[in-house]
Amino acid sequence: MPADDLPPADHESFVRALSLHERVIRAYIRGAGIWRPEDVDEIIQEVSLIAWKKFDQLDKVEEFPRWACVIARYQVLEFRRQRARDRLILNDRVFELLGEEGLEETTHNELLLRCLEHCLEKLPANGRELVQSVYEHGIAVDELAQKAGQQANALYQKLWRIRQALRKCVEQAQADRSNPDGHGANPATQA
Amino acid sequence: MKKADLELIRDYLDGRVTVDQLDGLNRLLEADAEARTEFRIMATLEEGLRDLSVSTDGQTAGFVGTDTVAGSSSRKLALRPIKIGLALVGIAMLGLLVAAALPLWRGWQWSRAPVIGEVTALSGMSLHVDGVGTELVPGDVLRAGRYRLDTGLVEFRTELGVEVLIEAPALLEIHAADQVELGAGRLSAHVPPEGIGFVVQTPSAEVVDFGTQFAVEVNEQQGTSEVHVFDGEVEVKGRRPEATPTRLHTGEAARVEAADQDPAGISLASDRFLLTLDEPDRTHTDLVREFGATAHYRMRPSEDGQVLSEGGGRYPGRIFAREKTRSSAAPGRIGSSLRLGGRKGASHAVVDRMPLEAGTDLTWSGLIRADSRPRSATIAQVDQTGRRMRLELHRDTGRLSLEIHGGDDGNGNRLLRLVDNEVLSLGEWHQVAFTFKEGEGVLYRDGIAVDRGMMGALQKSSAIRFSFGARLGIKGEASRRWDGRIDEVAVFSQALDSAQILQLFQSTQSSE
Repeated sequence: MPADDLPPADHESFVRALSLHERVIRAYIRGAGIWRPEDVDEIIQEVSLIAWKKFDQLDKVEEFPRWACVIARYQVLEFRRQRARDRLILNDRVFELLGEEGLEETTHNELLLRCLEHCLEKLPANGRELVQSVYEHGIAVDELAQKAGQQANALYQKLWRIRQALRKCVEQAQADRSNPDGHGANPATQA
Repeated sequence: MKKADLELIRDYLDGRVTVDQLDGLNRLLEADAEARTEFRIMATLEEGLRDLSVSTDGQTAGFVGTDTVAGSSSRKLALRPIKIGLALVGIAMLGLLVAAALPLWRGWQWSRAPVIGEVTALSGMSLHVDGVGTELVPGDVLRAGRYRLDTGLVEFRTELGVEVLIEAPALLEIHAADQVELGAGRLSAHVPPEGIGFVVQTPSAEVVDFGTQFAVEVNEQQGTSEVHVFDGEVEVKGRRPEATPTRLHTGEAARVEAADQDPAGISLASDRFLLTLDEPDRTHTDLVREFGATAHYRMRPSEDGQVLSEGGGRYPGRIFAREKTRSSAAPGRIGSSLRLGGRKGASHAVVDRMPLEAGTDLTWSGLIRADSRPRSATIAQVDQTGRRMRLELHRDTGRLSLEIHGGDDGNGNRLLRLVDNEVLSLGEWHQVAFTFKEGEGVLYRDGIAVDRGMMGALQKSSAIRFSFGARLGIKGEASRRWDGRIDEVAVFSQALDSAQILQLFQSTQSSE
C-alpha cells in the first residue's frame, strides 16, 4: 500500500497537514470575501477545530487542503450570516460564488504562495520593511504615514506599487516554473 | 480589467470601501467571473503577505520610515506555519482537553449572557443551547445566545411580553428581548404594544413588527424567507443595506428570495403556522362538557409530543409518528390539531381503553380537514366487543362513509354502511359525527344527518378502543392511512340527538 493511501489517523498527521496547508486555507478564506485579517483568524480557529474532529473521515491526507477549504467555506458562510448587518461586507451571492469557485484553486494557490515567498525575499529592504510593518501588525497605513510624517495617499501608492511588483514577479515565477529555461523573476526590477 | 475595478477590489481588501462602492463591487463580482478570479488572486496575495510577514525571532520589525530601514535588512522573513506547526504539536497534545472544555467554556459564556425571557411551553425535545450541553425546559430562563430545536415545538416569552413559538427543525440566535435571528425553521410571534419594534432577522430578510401577530419561515436550503401577517402590521425588507422596505398588513404575506431582493407578495398561509400552544377556552368545549362527554381530545400538543392528551386527563392516548423532527401538531379549527400525514407521514393515534357506560349507545364527534384522498383511508375507528365502526374517506368517490360491523338484523346482515352523498372538500374543516342507539346508526356532516340505517342489537360492551388516522388490525397494525388533520374529538357514552349534534357544529363555527 502506498504511504499516501494510509489513513491519516493520528494527530501528528493532522498537525503536519495543517502546518503545511494553513496559509492556503487562510488564503481561501480571504478570497471567499472575508477582508478583516482578525476575522480570518477567527474562522481558521473554527476550521481547525472542526477539521480535527473530522480528521478520521478524511480518506487521503493529500486531499487535506481542499477538504479543509470545504469546511472553511461553510464557516465563511456561517460567519457571513452572523455579520449580515455589517454594511461593509459583500453580499450573500458574491460570498457563495467566491467560495464555490475558490475551492478549485487550492493547488494553484499553493504554487502562488510559494512564488510569493520567493519574490518577497527579492524585494528591496525598504519595500520589505513597509510590507512587514503593514502586514505583521495590521497597522493602518494612515497611522504609519502619520508616524513617518508622510502623506497617507503617498504611502498607499507606494504600497500599491510594491503589491503590483510582487504580482508581476509571482506571475513571472509561475511562468518560469512552467518553463524552467526562462530567467528568474525579480520584483526589484519591476517596482 | 479596468484599473478602477482593481482599485475597488483593493480598497475592499484594505477595508477602505464605502457603502456606495460596495454596492458597485457586489454588482461587478456577481456579473464578472474574471473579476472574481482577480479578487481571489489579490486576496491570496494579501493573505500570503500577511502570513510571510512574521519574523522567525518573533520580534517586530517596527516601521521607521519608508526610505530608512534600521536593522531590518538582515532579518529574514519566514513562513508562519513553521512556528505555528511547532505550536500545533503542543496544541495537539492539549487538543482533546480543549475540545472537551469548549462546551464548558461556551456554557459559562452563555450563563453570563443577559436574561431576555423565559421558556413557557414545550412539545417534543428540549431546547438546546447550541454547542453547550444545556437543555432548557418550561420555567427556565432564556438568555441571549444561539439555540437549536431538533424536534417539536417550543414557546417562550421575552421580557417585553413578546410570545414566540418556534417549530423544529430550527436554529435561532436570540440577541435581545426585541431581536431574534432565525437561521432555519418556523417562528410565530404575538407582539403586545410594549414589544412594538420587535425584530426578526433571517438570512435574507429583516422583519420589524408594529404590534401584531405574524409568522416567519426560513427555508435554509433555498435561502428564502416568508413572512405572514395574521393581525396588525410589519415592515419587511431584504438584508442588503439599501433594500426597500415593504409594509404588510393583516392577511398579507411576502417571500424574500435572497438578501439582495425585495419582498414579493404571496398568499397568506393561515393553516401552516401554529400561533400558540394554548387551546383557547371556547364555547365548543363548554358544550361538550354540558353534553356529558366521556372524553374530549382538544389536540393540544403534549410535553413529550407523543401523548394524546385528554381534557379530563383520564383516557390519554398515544401518538405514533414516523416523522420525528416535525411536530404532529398543526393549526386546528380551534387551537391545535393532530396532523395525520397519510402513507408518507405514517402517523396515527390510539386510545387503548375507554369505559362505555351505557353498553351499546355511543356518539363520536370531531373536526376533520382532509389534505388529500388516498384510495381508501380510515379517519377514525371504534372497536368494542362484537362491533367495529370505521369512518372512511374514499378517493374514487370523494365521499365519507361509516361502516358498522356486528349485530344482526335478523336477515343475516352484519354490516351497516352509511354514506354521505356529497363530496368532502379538501383543505377545509368539517364537523363529522356518528351516533349509535338501539340498533340505529346515524352519520352527520356539518351538523346535518346525511345518512342513517338500522342493524340488529349489539352485544353490550363495557369499554372501547378507538383510533385516528389509520385502520387498525387486531394486533394494532396500521394500514389505510388518512392524510389530514383532526381536532376536538369527543366521545360520549350515549347517543346525542340531532339538535345536540347541530349545536356542537354551530359552536365550532362561533369559535375562532
